[in-house]
Amino acid sequence: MADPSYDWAALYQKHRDAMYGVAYEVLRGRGRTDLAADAVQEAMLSLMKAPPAEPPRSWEALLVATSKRRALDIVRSAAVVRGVEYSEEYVRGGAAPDEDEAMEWLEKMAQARPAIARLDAQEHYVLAQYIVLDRPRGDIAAEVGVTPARISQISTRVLSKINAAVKGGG
Amino acid sequence: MHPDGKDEEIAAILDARAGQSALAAGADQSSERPEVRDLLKAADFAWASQQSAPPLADDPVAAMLGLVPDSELELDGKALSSARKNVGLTVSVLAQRLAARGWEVTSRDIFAWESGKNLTHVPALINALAEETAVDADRLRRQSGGDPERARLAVIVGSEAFKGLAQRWARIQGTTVALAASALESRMLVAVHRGGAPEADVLLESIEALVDSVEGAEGAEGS
Repeated sequence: MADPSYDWAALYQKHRDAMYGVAYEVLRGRGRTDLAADAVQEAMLSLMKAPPAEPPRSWEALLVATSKRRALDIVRSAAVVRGVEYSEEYVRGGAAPDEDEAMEWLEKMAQARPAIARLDAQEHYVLAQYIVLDRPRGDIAAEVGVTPARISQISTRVLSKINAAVKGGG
Repeated sequence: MHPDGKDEEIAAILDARAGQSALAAGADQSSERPEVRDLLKAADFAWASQQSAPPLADDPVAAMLGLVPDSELELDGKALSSARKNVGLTVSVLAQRLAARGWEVTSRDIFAWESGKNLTHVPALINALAEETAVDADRLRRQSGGDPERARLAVIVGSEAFKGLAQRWARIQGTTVALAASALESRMLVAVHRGGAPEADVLLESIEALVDSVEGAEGAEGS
């Protein structure tokens, strides 16, 4: 099934975090992050079945773009099954993902990570608990010992830092 | 310093996400306001950057591709050394060939394997070594010695306490949880190989102390 000139196991081990990341992101809007493994599995199977004739410019970009495509297929088929309206605009990159778009996404992720690593402990707590885990602001405020309004302020500061890093590349 | 209207506006959108992306939750408010849209996009990037693949043992693709370590089989270091010499490859050339395939393997790893240390249990990697040294993969595999230390480490790595530490380490290092877990596991392996066979709770405490100290240093810098 697989082209012997490509070592799929090695490539997958190296890039599986990014493949899952993009699949989670697409499926999140439909509350179906539990289907991320399906999207990633279908992406790998499709690539192994029809490998690129030439090595791509970036394996990571190809794997990420394929994972995203499969996740979008899942979102679309779920929308059809449920008869609900499917809005592409707010499913990230809802239209035909390609490798250039995937590379841009990966670059932005790479720029965001050091900015996140530079956050102080309180900022990181707000990022993890409020922005990522989506816990109630009031609960986090009580844990940190500040007001909910202060959590809003810290949250905006964190997002401004990440936005500056993603836009400025620093 | 008092929170301004923008802070509360962004927070209200984040509060209303209910599992969706921030950009989707704030679609009405951000359509005409690029500064709000940028911050919501940043929230979505932050969310995505904190996601990672499941552990190898829980990943069906990893199982399909032979990436899940097999505790019963390990690389035969002497057989690898012999096979490598038979095809006239130096250690560094073999490492380069593996790296070209996508494996993160260095000459140092291969030297260690050939000396019988840190032998890999990953079937797909053993297959790759066999292909590069032109031997049947079965010749490079042997029954694992049933290393009790390795089995003990596997239990620790699977614990919730270890996963929590890996998440903290990932934050400090700005890396994925999987890579952070791997780095912490390597540190525990070093501790085990130094001898003394420390207990599981002692190993976890030493890793926690490391994470605490680096977090503490970071907090001091930030204050």
